[in-house]
Amino acid sequence: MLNIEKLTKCFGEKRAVDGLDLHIRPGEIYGFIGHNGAGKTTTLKCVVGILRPDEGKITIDGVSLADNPIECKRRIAYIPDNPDLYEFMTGVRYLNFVADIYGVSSADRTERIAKYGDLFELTKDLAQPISAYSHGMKQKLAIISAWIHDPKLILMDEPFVGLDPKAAHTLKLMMREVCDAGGAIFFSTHVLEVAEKLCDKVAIIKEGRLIRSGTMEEVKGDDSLEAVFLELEE
Amino acid sequence: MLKALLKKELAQLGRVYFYDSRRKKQRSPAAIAGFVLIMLFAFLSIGMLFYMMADSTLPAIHEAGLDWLYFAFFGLIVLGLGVIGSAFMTNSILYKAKDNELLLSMPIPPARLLFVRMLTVLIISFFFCALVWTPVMIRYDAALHPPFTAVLLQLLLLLALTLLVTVFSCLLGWLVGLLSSRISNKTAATVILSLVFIVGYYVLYFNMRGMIDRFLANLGGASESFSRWGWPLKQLGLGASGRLLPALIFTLIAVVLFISAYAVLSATLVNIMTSTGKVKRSVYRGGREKQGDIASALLMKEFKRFTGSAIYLLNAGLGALIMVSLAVFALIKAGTINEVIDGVLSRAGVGPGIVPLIAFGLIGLISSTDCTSASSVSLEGNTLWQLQSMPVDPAEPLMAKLRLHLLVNAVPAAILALVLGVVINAGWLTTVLLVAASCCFVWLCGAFGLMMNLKKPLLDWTNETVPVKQGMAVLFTMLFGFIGGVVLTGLGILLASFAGPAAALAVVALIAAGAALAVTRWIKRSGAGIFAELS
Repeated sequence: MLNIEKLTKCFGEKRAVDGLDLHIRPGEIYGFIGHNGAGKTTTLKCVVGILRPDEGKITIDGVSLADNPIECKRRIAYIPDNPDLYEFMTGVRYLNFVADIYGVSSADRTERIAKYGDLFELTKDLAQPISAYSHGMKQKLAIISAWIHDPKLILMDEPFVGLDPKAAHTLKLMMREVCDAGGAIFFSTHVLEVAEKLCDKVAIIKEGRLIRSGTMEEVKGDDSLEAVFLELEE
Repeated sequence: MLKALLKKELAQLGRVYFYDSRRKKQRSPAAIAGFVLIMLFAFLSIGMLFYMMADSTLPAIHEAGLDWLYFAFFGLIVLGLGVIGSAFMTNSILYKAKDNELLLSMPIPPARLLFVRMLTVLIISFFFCALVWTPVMIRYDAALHPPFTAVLLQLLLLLALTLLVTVFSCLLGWLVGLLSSRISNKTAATVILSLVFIVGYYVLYFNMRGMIDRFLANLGGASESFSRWGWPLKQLGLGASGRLLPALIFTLIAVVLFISAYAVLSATLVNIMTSTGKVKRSVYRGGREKQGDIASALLMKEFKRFTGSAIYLLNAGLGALIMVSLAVFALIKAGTINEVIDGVLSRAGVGPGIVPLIAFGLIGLISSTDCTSASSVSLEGNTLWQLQSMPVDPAEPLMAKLRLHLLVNAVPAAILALVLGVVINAGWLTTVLLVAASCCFVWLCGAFGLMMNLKKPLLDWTNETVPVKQGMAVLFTMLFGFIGGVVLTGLGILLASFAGPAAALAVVALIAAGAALAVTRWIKRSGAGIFAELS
C-alpha cells in the first residue's frame, strides 16, 4: 500500500529524514514512534505531498507520488498533529467541502456524516461554526473528514491527542475496520501502550533514521515496547 | 516581563517587513531599503496633500493674528482622521490576537498585556499623526521662523496628540469589542460598527476642503468656538505657536486621559478577550447532503473566509461597497453630475471625449483599494496543510482566490461603469468598452495581488490584521493599482484626443487584459509550484 524508499528530507544543514525505507501492506496498522524532532511528522508530510522529498521515492497503492501526486492524494487521508481546520465554516459545511474535493456522492456523504457523527457524538454540533468547537471536537471532525471519502491509506499524526476515552476507543475500532477492509493505517504516537496494543507493525525512528521496524514481536521480543524504545533511544 | 512582551509585539510588527516567510530568512538589505523607499514615497505623497492644505490656510490665519488657531484646527483634523481611521483596527489589535489564550495562561498581569498592545496602537497612531502634523509644522516653521523652543514644543505636542489619538482609538475599539461581545453575530456587528467609523472618515476627508473654506471665511467665529468648546485644543494651538504653559497643560491632559483609558480598559480586558459573543445554538438535523464540484467548493471556501472575517471584509471589500454606492448616487444625481462635468470641461477647454477615460480612472482608483487576493494566500495560515494534502492541482485553489477577487470587485466595477456610461451619455459602444476596461483592470489588480502574495506570503501571523493590512503584498498591490490606473488613464486620455474614447478604452482594455492574462498564466505555472511548497 505504501512504499517509502531512501526518503531524505533536509531543512538547511539538518537532515530531518535520512534515507528512510518503509513498506506498509494492505491490512496493516503501522505505528511510527520516536522522540520529539526525530522526523515522524516530516515523514508523514512527505508522504501526503505537503513537503517535497530531497531524495527517495514514495509510492502509494502502486502510484508514484512524484509522478502523479493528485492520484496518490485521492487514495489517502491525513490528520495532522494539530487540527487547524477552517474555523469560518460550520462542521457540516466543512465535511461537505472535503467531500466535494474528493468527489464523494451525495448518498455516500449523507450516510457517512450520519454514521461517524453519531459514533463520535458530534452530529448535533455539526451546524455550529468550527470556531466554537473544543480541541477534542475539532479532532473528531478532522477524523470524520478523513474517513468521509473512504480512503485506502490513512496517515495520522498523534491522532489520540485531545480525544476522550470513548472517542479514542471508537477511533481504534474504526482503524481496525479500515484494515479489515483491505486498507492501511500509518500513524505516529508517543503513547507506547496504544502502539503496543493496536499496531500490527511498528517503526522506530531516531534523528531521521529508521533504527528498528517490523512486527510487534520482532521489535520488542519479550520486553515491553517502552523498554525497547528507551533502550534504543539511549 | 514588559520588555519581553514589547519585544514580541515589535518583532511581530517588524517581521512583516524584515523577514521573508517564504525563504525562511531575513530580507536582504536591498529589499528592506526598497521597502523603506516605497513607504517614504507613500508618506511624502500623502504629506504633500496636507502641506498644500496648510499652505492655503496659514496666511489668512497669521494675518488675523490667530496663529494658535492654525494648530488648533489641524490638531482637530489629526484627532478626527487618526481616531476614526484606526478605531476598527484597534479592536483587532487589542482583543483578537491568536496568542490571547497562551498569554493569559502565563503569569502576566492582563494590565501589562494591555499596556503593550496599547503601545502597538500608539506606534501606529504616531504615523497617522505625524503624517498630518509634520507638514503643518514644516509649513508654519518655514514661513514664520519661530524660535527653536517653539519647534521643540510642536514636537512634544505631536507626541501628546499621538497619546490622545491612541486614547480615543482604544476607547472606540473597546466599545466595538464590548458591543460585539453582546451580539450573536460578531462579524456582522464589527462590520457594521466599523462601517460607521469608515463612513465618518470619508465624510470628514471629502468635506475637508469645504470645512477649511468655511473656517477661513469665519475666523473670528472659529476662534470663539475653539475658546468656548475646544479649550484643550486652544491650549494645543497656543503651545504649538511657542507658549510653554499651554503646551504642558495639553500634554498633561493627554497623559491623564491615557492613564484613565488604560484603567478602564484593564478592568474589562479578559472578559472581552475571552468572550465568544452570544452564540446562537444551531442543531444539525441531518438530511440529504448535496454533491458539488471542486471549483465551486473552493470558491465557496474563499467566500466563507471573506464573509467570516470582519477585518478581511472591511479591508478587501470596502471599495466594492463604495462603487455600488457611487453607482446609486450617480443615478440619483445624474443631472448635477453632467452639469459639473460640463462646467469643468468648459473651464479646462477640453472636449467631452476624455470623460469616459476619467470614469475609468475613477473606477480603477476605487477598485484598486480592494486587495482581496493580495492577502488570500497569507490567510491560509495554519490551515495551509489542507489544500496541500488534498487531491487538487495547486493552481485550482489559486484560481478560486482570483475568482473571489473578481466576484467581489468586478461585478461592482461593471455596475458602476455601466451606470457612469449611461449617465454621461457615452453611447453604447463606449459604455460597453468602459465596462470591459474596468473589469480587465480589476482582473489585472487581482492577479497581481495574488502573485505578490505568493512571492511575499505571511503564514505565521497571530492576528489577521497583519496579513490583511500590513502585508507587503497588500502594499505593493495597492501601489501597483494606483500607479497602473493613473498610467492607463493617462494613456487613454492621450489616445482619446485623436482616436476617440471608444478606441482609447479598447486599447486600455486590451493592455489590461494582456497583462492580466500574462500574470494569470504565471500564477497557474510558477505560482502553483510556489503554493505547493509553502510551509
